[in-house]
Amino acid sequence: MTSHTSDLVHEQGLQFFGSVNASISHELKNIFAIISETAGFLNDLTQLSKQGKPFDLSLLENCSNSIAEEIERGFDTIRQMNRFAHSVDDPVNDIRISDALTLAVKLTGFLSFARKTHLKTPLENSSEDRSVFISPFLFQALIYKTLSALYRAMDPTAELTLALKDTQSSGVTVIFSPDPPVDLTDFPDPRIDEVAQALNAAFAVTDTGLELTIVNTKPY
Amino acid sequence: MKIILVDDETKFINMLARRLSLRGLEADVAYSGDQALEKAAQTRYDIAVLDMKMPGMSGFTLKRKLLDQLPDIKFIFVTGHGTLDQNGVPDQFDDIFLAKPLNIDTLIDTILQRLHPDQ
Repeated sequence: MTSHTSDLVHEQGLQFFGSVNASISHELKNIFAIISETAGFLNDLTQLSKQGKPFDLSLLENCSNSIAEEIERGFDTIRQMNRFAHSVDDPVNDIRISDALTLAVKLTGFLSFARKTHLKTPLENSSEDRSVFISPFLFQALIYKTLSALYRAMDPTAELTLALKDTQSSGVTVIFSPDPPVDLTDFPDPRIDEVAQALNAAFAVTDTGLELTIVNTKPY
Repeated sequence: MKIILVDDETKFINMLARRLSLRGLEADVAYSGDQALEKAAQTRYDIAVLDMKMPGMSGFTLKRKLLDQLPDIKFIFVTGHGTLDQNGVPDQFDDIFLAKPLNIDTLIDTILQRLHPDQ
């Protein structure tokens, strides 16, 4: 890792780290709020029962199902948090691009301004999938910041599709296609571009969206 | 007393409405700012309990739009954000913030205090 890349981790990386943690804690609070209200409602039903007032027993089933669903949602959130936390284990490492995109989509999904996103990357045993020797943390930051910027530019009902495309050389291009298309004339923000350059990646604005080309990849 | 609860966490807001109902307070629910504005066009609400961060329209934006329709409406903001350091205390705009998870008795006390500050 160069000293410039190290500086980026400290400057932009900390901001990214804080943003991810804030959105995850917000998600967990929402989950706890639902479990708390459901537990409170169960207590309300208990008090009704003690007073000899009847209630529909299916309410109990609904409550237990709701609690189970929220616990699963909480586990999934913590799984993403754990994967994200491990992105700083190594300054640079081989990462599978589709894995990094999947995690970034999940992490940005906790943001209140996130848009519905479809990930069309190959996930298993696909010849299109690539790995790259890169800073896992900065790469996460790059994809996260890119998605955040796109979400902010998109209409609340708009949707985003991400896909991977092979380049003729050893690179791979991530295609971001907002539907409907958005005005990206000011993209990328200089700070996002700085991270991209440090990772030897480059943005190109197209008629339909945005492309991010990453060089020196290899088949996964 | 007309109450509207607005939050994109549908299970949370439905359960809250149910628990308020068991305590004699009927509340309408809306899952987005736009839905809340549609309901406010039909019903003269006295108080709105708003989530601060919602997709599409934040609680603060919704407050401004609701005030255009209902100038006398009161507000309580509910938030899952960790920076809340004034739980239940009005800020300089006289808004009251409550942190998630909520305590139902605190919420009811706050609703009553907002609507009847002299009692």
